Amino acid sequence: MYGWMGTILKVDLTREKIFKEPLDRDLAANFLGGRGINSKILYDEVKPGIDPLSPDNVLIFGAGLLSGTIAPSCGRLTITAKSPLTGIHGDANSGGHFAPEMKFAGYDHIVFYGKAERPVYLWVDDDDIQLRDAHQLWGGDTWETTKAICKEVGDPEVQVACIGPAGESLVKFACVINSLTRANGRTGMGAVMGSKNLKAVAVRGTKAIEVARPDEFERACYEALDKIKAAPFYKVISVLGTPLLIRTTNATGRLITMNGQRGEFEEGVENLAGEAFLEKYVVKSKGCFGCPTHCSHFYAVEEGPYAGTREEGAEFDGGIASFGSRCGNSDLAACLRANHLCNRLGMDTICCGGTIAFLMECWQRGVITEKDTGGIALEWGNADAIVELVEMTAFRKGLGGIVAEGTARAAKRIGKGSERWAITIKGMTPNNGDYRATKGGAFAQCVSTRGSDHLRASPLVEYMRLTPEKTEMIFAERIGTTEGARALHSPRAYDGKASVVAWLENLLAAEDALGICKFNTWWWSLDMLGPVDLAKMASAATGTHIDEKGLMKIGERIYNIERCFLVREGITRKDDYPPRRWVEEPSPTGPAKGELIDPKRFEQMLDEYYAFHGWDKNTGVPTREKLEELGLKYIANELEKMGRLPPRAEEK
Amino acid sequence: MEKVFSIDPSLCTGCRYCEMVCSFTKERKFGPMLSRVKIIKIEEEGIDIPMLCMHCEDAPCKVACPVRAISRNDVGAIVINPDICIGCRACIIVCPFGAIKFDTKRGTLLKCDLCDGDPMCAKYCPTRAINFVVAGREDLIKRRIYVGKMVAPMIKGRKMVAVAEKWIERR
Amino acid sequence: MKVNVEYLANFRLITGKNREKITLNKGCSLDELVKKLNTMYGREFCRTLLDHEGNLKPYMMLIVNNREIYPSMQIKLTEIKLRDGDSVAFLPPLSGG
Repeated sequence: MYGWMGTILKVDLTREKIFKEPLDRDLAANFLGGRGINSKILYDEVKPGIDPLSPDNVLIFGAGLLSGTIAPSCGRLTITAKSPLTGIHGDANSGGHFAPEMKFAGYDHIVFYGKAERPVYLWVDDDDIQLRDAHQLWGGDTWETTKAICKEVGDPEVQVACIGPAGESLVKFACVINSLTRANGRTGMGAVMGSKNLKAVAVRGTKAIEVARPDEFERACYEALDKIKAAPFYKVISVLGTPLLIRTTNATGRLITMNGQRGEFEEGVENLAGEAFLEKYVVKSKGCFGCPTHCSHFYAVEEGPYAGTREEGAEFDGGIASFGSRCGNSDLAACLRANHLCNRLGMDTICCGGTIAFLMECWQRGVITEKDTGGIALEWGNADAIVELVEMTAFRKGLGGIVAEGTARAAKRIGKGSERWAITIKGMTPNNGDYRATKGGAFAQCVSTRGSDHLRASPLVEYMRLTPEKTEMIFAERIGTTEGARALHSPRAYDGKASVVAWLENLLAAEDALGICKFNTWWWSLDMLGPVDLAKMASAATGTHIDEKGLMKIGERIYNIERCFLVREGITRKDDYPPRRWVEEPSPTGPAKGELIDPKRFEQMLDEYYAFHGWDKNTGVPTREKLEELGLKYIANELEKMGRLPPRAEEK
Repeated sequence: MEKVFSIDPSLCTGCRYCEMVCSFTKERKFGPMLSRVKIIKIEEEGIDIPMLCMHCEDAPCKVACPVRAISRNDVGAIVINPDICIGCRACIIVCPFGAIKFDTKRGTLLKCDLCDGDPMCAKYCPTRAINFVVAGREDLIKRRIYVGKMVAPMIKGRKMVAVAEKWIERR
Repeated sequence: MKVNVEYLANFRLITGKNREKITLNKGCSLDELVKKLNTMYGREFCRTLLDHEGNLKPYMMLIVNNREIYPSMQIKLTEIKLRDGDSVAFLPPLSGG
């Protein structure tokens, strides 16, 4: 096969048996790879209602279709399973170098079933696959584990994806770490690994990827490369990276502060700013596999109580805002320390910081006291408390045991009306944006198929648009109306945003199937790679003729199958709503002062969104017509048997 | 005009695009095993160093070859003639950089040949950690960077500009 | 009069500063402020912010005293008068993760 390596590795952990299955051509053609094929396998192989931490869950690693080639910034890995945090579809995406190595070893996907009797790790060495004893590694953090495995197999450059103590303790938002600091962070994939006694996956590959039409592929990739480098933000993001977002989101009232009470953190923004990070701590720039943007850094803290903290990082959502503005904390070094602990111990920074921030608000409102926290003073900005609590969470020690369950469960447990300030959607914590300011962004968070998420469709184009005419033109032909496209003029407008979100959801699903980093695509800015550029690379790689429509159809199919997974777990329209704070409390300060999400307008957005997707307006369930159009008749039949399928139009 | 590689490891981000471009240019496939250039990483320290053939002036590989299969071609590259080469790997033993590999599948040696005078790794390196410059001018890049870093801070508040300018110059 | 000016992202790279105070004549508009910044930092400042017709470029925006001004509003810089102590931020409103 071209583009793909053509093999799925299947590992039955219960019986410790390993199978190699040829990648089915139809599966590949209809779902492409990465998140796409992952989602299909998850839907087919996991029955509704199972416990995500039981052996019945299936854990899938997926390399993007274009991973490991000169397609720029395409080295991304997706890990998929039913989420222990949310109880619905879960997946997490990371950069680093793991996905390309999977392909160099000859595998597009690795699927884990069951549960090993003892701690194990999978060692994939080209065609040689072994499940090795990991009881010496169990208990170690991700850095110790990576080093130990490299030593054991005798190669310092083996790619390792592993869990730390957090995954072993089944922390609900435990993550998987590869390349020491690259996190498949969200939805608790690390806990799933922990529940299977799977400590790590190590890969080394000596094979090579071939593409069907090399000259055409080369041309498409180098054109894409030029486009990325010519984009207006290339310079700024390649120097500052995501930390630059601290000041830009703060200036526009979109930086989540003190558990989302405010959208600006004026008192702390100078200290947390990307510019401060760059001047004080950054040593050099770092990049993921095959990426010309190198938005990451290597940093070192050399003074103060957190001296000795050094690693690749840090990101706006990873550490800086999560433990900074979100917790009312302006001590940047403390944020970096907390970030480093999350990397070593294997936890999602967004959920970790988000849950700590929630508890801080509980403290602020007197709903919990020192009695409940075991003596920890959860004052806003108490940097020491934050760092201490992060470590306790990974081991479920004391108050950490409550943090480890995530915000939604913590709110249930604490009660006393704390649900009012629990910022979650479908059990998942939003990233560090205050979305009252941007109606489209808020909406995208509410409807994402993995719970609150900014990477499924956040229409950054609400702010980041070309000339109004150009943006209108681009979206008008894609969402079918000009009124909707016109709404993109303002982040405060509601009309038409829902259709743009729905369209972007389909595009970004395809992007995740290809393995490309969204910073280089229309998710970020319309000057970057769009569906036509992506389709060109995908076609030349695989030897097919996918155009924009074809690519969008695949994305739509992926998104619909994920939605159906949610439907099978009981998700309907009632679950697609914003956190209470966004609806009840207007943003108190800054340029977004007074903004909130109007519930009536939100209902209209839901109507528009379901209509665009071709789903039932009342329930948000994909209709038989839509599913059959996407070649998913068997799913329509299954949902019908469950009584979840909306009645056909004639039957109404 | 003779050109040589000039490497600045502090600029290497570890993206390994050079490895993919090299293996694709030479073999029309993507695989680090086929790449003549290799990025050696020490992730814990944030160290990424491009290791490639430096086409030494007094090449040990050329001297060690028992059948005189190694010579310098007209673009200045040290190359191995596969028709004469007997595969003894003496060149691999003596190379101080590990710049030569043996492809057992095809019984050939993999070694950088400067891509006919326009090395693709240097062409596509996004930070110009790998440069191919006129011999005798390797010093200029480093000198300019130093000036930008050390002199600019003397002008208050201009440090950020110098850091950014370093990137601008190299594009 | 003095206005507080803030530079973010591209503008931060051009000026090398996060913020500073700029002295202007009383009754000056945003247009005069931008012209002054142009002389201080070179044409790149203007070219990053405005197109050749003097309108805000795509992706760029201003925030004047907590009031967001973006291209689709089609406001001319001369229309916005500044007062002593006003704040003006220049930025592309980047967000994401």
